[in-house]
Amino acid sequence: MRRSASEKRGARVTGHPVKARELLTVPEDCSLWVGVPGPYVAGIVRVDDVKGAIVRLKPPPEADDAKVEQARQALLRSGALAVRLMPRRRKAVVPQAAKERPAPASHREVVMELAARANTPDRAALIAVLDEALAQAGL
Amino acid sequence: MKVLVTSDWHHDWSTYGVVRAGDVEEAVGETLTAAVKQAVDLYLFLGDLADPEDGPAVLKAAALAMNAACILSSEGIPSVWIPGNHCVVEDGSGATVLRPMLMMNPVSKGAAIYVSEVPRLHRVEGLTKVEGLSNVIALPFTASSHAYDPAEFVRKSARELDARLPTIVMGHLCMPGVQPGEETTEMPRGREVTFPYDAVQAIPGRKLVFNGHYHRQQTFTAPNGLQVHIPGSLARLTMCEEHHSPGYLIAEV
Repeated sequence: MRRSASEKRGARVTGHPVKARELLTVPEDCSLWVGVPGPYVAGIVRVDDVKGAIVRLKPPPEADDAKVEQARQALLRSGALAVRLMPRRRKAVVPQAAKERPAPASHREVVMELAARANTPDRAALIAVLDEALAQAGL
Repeated sequence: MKVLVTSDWHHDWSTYGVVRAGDVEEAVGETLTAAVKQAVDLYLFLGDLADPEDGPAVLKAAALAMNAACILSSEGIPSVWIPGNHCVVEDGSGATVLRPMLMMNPVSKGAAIYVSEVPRLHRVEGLTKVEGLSNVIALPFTASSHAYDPAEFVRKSARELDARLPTIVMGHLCMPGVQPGEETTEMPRGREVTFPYDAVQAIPGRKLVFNGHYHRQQTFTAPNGLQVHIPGSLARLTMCEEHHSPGYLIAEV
């Protein structure tokens, strides 16, 4: 066993816990929000631990008011002393798919893709012209 | 010699509107029970009893501390009390929330309750022992109107120690190198006065070093090798302390 400097000098210092009220956070990714039943109120918190605890509730953006109230009541029924609701993150206005950046492409690939979609009576001629221009530019 | 050390009661604190005085009182009760059951020779309080701004809260906090000190005294256990940064009144008077206890002048009445609103070297006497118990260098947090140089005070005290006795250093100062917690973010108060590592390390003979202010119980080793024991608070007070294990320390020399 490693001895501290104080112990080497003949002193021993030990910590003694007291009965302390639990403070708990129910995070956004907790199973509580998707209604998973079980002995755990919050997926990470046992029912026994909630008794007498002061709980901080962090709902995910998808949870509506009814769901949040349902979760709050569940915690209070489990014996929480107080449940504090934290502000929800706002749902993203732009869909996640729209935020995704396109895969990197070469200049030639981009130009040829646009040419393929261009409204032109002679696509083959357009592509030939573009191909020549790209070749001259070394692309 | 066996010493019980506790700190940072914050008796006036509320967590999300929940008054925590009852929790703190229960925990203080546990320290008193332990002090008696384990027959400690000395009980130390390292500051932050309550903020001074709320009169009724101060009254209740001072009553708790005085009651604890009187219980200890009646059980033959001397106690030493210092204010923390939350305890001081910044009105130029140098008063702290421990002033009512100090004004009882308990030592002169044989109660062995030592209160240090200013830095002081105590030669603590045991109530049941004929010999002296310990040198105690008290480094309280003081109001800016009553500022002092902790290193200079420790050096001066070191020259006046009773060499036959061990020395306890107890403070409520900022410790460079200790990871700050909510005591410096959600609960800030007062200015930064740093712990004098080098001056304390130079104290001759057996010594034990304790400091309050930080709410997480830990033992910190300073860059010069000095070990400082931090009892932490007696309750989880802010949400960032939800993973703390509040408690007290018992030291045996």
